[in-house]
Amino acid sequence: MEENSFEERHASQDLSSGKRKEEPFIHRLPSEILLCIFLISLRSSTSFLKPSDDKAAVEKHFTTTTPYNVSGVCRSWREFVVSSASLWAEFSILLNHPSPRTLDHAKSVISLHLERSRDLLMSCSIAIFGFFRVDTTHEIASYIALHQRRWRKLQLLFRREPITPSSGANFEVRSESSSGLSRFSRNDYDDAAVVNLFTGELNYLEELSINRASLFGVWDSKELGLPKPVPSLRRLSLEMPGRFDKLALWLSLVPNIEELDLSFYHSDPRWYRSDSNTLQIPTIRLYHLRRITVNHGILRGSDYNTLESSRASTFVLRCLACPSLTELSVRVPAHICVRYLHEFFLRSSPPLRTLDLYVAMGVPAFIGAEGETMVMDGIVELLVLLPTIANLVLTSRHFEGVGRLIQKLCSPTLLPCLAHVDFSISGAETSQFVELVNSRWSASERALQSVVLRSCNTHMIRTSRFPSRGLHDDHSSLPEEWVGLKACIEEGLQFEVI
Amino acid sequence: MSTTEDKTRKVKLVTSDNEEFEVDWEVATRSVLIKHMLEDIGESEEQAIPLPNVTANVLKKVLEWCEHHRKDPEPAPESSDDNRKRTLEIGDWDAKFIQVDQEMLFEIILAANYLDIKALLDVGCKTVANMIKGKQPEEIRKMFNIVNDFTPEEEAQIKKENEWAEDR
Repeated sequence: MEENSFEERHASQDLSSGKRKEEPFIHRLPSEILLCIFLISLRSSTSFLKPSDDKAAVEKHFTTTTPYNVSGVCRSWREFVVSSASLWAEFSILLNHPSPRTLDHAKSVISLHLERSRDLLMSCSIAIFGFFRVDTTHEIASYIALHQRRWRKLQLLFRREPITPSSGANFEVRSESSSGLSRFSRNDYDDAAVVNLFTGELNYLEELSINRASLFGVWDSKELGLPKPVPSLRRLSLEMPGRFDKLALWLSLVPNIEELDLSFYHSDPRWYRSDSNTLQIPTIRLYHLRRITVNHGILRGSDYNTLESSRASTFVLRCLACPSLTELSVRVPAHICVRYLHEFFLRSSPPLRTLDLYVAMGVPAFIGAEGETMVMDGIVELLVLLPTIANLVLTSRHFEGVGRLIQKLCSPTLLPCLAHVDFSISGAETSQFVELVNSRWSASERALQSVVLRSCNTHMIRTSRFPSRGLHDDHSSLPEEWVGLKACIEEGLQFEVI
Repeated sequence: MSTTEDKTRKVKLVTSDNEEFEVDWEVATRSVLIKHMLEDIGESEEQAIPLPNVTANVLKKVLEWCEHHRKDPEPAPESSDDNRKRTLEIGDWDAKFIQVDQEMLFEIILAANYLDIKALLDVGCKTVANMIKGKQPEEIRKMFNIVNDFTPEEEAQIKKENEWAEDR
């Protein structure tokens, strides 16, 4: 469309109908309401600055996303938006395969926000994925760290892929709540420089999510003294090489933490130490910690990476005491599960509501009928300690043992509050699940509400999968194996087989 | 805290154009301003509450909202504002209620602000935020009848700011 000149535009507006000359209704709003509207628009935005050198996409981002779009409407709005620091204190940038030039521009956008948000606390999310310069992570992290005194919520995610002639991977953007990245490349560690964080400056930090923890050194101040606790920090998401001492240091800094997401990945030369497996760490008591998720980024159904993932879980189970814990999600090999989970729950006595347990195959002693029975008996002993559990999520390849666990669960005295059961990959007979559901459904104080079976089978071979059943499928035509559940489903049981 | 007596009580409201509305105490006190004024005048049932910043047609609409939400719990404390503002979701009834022309929409927002009815103000602000979200400046201008008063130089400056590929 041909654009009119400034003069033409004003002439046409002056000569148009009387209504056109009227003050726009929106201009009647006081500035505090206008700011509230712009903030809602900003905070509800799911738009990320994600293109690399796609000029049209960049322009679209800047012309349709708040605060940029409203700052280009008229002079009074522009002055108002530019001078409203709160509209610049929250921002998200996501770059996929950024060129050096794009990174420079990203830095200028960050700089613009830092400048216009003046001295307000900042909430920002910066994610860079794909192919980019080796020193980029350090460059961006250092730049943001210059303003660490102003951090309130910070998410820094860097995932660098090796550049190959056939590179063209399609990277998935994960939401904040599931930002764990399960794949790492050695190329991630090429930059050896460290970005210093000073706990003395992090007085307002409430949420920190970093997937390159080894990029940061933590000190008290610029004098590089021992770091002090950061009492404001409530939510921490760390992905780091498996160094127990480093993790212990981080957790000693967050006495008031409420939510912890943790993943270990293979070693980083920066943090390499041959004795990193030793556990000479006194118990760390985290009195406010309500949720722990270990290795949330790792796909279910694969025992790949079990070693690293189990080490993170081992740390949690051996070194932490969490008396307020209501939600625990861990992935552990059988021997760790039997040995340390029990100790952890005895030590913590938590009011646990959700247990998401992935029991991977462990050492040979726990494989085979006898070993598997031992594992499941261990889990049953564990569950006895946790009568508050309402949600039980179990993933296990222990074919022999799961049936035994199901048998025990038929008694409503074990986990009397159990409302939601979610079993994955587990092997058992369909009749055992039918019995489990019926016995808990007919309990005098019924708590059961839903049962989900994912990739479960009757035998170890994949062809014997349980017949599927959608949540909303007609219950009059249930597969033969599930006919025994018809009455429960009719009475409201949510039953799904995937 | 309200008593049973309060709930059966009637309240008189007088608009800027001198129209009088008699409403249940429970409906009127969705407005924090009216609630405080009622506390100030005490038991005097006959005394009408003047609302000099609200016209009758707007108050009628606001009272329709208050009537529908008369049983709602007290608004959440300020600290939860952050979460509230992260979503543009509006309930079905509210979404239908707020389908009005722009003049009425902004009058409702102003009235909700003056009368201190946070939940109604929230509905109004979210509605306008929804109208702005994802729109280009020109579309916003058209929607709200705003004049583009930038000089060509200012427009060039804005364009430059938004041009990723240009060196700055």
